[in-house]
Amino acid sequence: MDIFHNLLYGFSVALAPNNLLLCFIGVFIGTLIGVLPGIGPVGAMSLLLPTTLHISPVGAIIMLAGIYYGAMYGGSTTSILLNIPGEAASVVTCLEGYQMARRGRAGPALGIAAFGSFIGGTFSILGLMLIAPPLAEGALRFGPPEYFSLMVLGMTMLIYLASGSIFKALMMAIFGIILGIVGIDATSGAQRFTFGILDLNDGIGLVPLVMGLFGISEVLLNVEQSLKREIFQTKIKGLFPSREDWKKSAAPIARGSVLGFLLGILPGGGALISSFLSYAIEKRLSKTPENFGKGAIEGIAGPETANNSATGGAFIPLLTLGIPSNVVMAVLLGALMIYGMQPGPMLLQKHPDLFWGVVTSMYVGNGMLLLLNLPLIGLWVQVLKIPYRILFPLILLFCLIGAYSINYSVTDLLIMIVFGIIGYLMKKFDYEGAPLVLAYVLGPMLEISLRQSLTMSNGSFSIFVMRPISAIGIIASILLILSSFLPWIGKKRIAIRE
Amino acid sequence: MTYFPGCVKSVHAFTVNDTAISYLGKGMGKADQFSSIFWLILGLAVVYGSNRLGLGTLTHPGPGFLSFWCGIFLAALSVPVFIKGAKMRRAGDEAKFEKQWSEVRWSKSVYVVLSTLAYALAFTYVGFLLGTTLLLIFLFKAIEPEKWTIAVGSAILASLISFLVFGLWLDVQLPRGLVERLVF
Repeated sequence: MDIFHNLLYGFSVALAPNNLLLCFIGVFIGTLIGVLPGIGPVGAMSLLLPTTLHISPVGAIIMLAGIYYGAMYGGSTTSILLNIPGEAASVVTCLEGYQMARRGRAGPALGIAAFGSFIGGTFSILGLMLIAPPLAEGALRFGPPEYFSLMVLGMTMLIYLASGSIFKALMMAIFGIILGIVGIDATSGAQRFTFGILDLNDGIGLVPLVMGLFGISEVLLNVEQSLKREIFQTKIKGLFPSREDWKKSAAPIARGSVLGFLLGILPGGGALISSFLSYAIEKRLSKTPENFGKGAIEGIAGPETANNSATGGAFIPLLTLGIPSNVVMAVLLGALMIYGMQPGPMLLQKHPDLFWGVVTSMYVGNGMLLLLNLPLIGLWVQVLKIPYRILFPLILLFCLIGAYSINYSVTDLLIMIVFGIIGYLMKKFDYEGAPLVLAYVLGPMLEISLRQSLTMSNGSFSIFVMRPISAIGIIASILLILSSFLPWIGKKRIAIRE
Repeated sequence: MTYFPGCVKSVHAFTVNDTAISYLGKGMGKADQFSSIFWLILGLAVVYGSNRLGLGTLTHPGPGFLSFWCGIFLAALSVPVFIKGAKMRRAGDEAKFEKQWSEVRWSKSVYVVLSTLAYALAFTYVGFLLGTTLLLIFLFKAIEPEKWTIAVGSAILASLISFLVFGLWLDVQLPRGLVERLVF
């Protein structure tokens, strides 16, 4: 009954006219971002972060969350029609969806992607609603050593699952921690790596950093290429899958919902890994695996369900423990801190309107997305025709205004451009940005937990292994890193990535 | 194929006209060597700076404690990256890194960076509308050249709409120059 009352309270927040409008704006923009190649949900969230400073924190998080799961819906459209993944987690949808489109079945492909996404999203919200409150209660017993080890585990998992060299991913995480430390140390008052620049006393801003790393750098990379896109010329008809399609898709959707949700909770997991794993599982379990790669609808139903289900799961560690499980959640964490809200076990108690408002808005948002995606396919196809040479100056302009509007400081603009160059070079030299951003957001909290733990233990590191939860986190992190050097496990890691 | 999990997808691996670049960490010998030297220098610089801040004691870690160890690890990790890079160079596998610069128009990226830097430094003096219009005209002409009428028209329209939406509706304090003072 408690959950029922909380749900009613949440709906009263989510269905308030301004929050409803913000939810719609978020899912609409998210779908648009998912459709358009060139910028992902993190870039979009970063671009819109400054504008959310002018609205209520609850409304802001509802909108930003809408962008995240909206992008998952939108990503499938370009995968199916263009063979270009609109979003990284929609890569596997290219494999089957485009083949279905070539056979004149673009409509059912789009339809099952939308319905699967809706079912997966709804399932994960139910899970979030049921698991988060008891987990938050349990987390009240966590102390600094537990938080430290969980943050280390979260970063380690993201590093482990990063593609490319694990050494490079580790270096990015360490670099991120260093960037997070820049500014005045709250304990001692010392200026750390500010080089006398007053604007850096408060640290390097999250918004210029992520906008530069993900927005500006992507523009720089894209303008180098001559992108020619050919939209598959077909009439899209019959968006509702047939009975046969549903029969084939029912089990993959069910499996995708559970898999995506569980992987979304795990640090380093998320939509990308869940969609790939779901595809691999469906191919393994299928009675007709030879159809995969030629337009098997199960290869769309499972992954699209999983990637949306992961979005709900990903909110659990953020809202209950204050630990982001992936880079999107890291940006949301940064946003919550900008609004003066500390995510963690106390969030449910201190800001129930935020938690239940966001959870119920996700129900509303998923419903909106189902209605938006199917009838508006024609509009998304027109959007895809906008040449990138027209789009990129507007994206750049948006980044510049966004970065400037936070503190009205030219320093923020310069920081954004510098990180744009850094992000561009990182991609050229094969370094990943996700470990950097996660470590940057967690770095200050990591340092506080470390200092408090060492003070509690009189300088002894054994505190991290004497307490059970902390010990599990530390040992798991060490085993993960060591395992990536073992040849047969290293090959499996490459297989997961590929 | 490499991308940032959950956030940005890279179109580079999927272009229809087949200029796909694989980001699987192969063919990066020289690049890894260059980058590892950079990280070594940065790591040592962070160690030096952290030492000056003060490491404190284990019971009461100082402001430089965590960054000191981060610097040490950063410098240490650059070594295996350098070694791997040297092995790749010996194997003669440089095709991928060279492709990243030879088969793309990286000068366009330089134009974008320089123009946005100039904009950042100048727009607080000339005002948002004039600065933005000039920047957009440059970008519309310099990368994939549009006709002058389209470039100028689109630039003015985009600047005006941005000013109306952000400057007036959302109340963002955009710099006001001569044009804003005359028109608004």
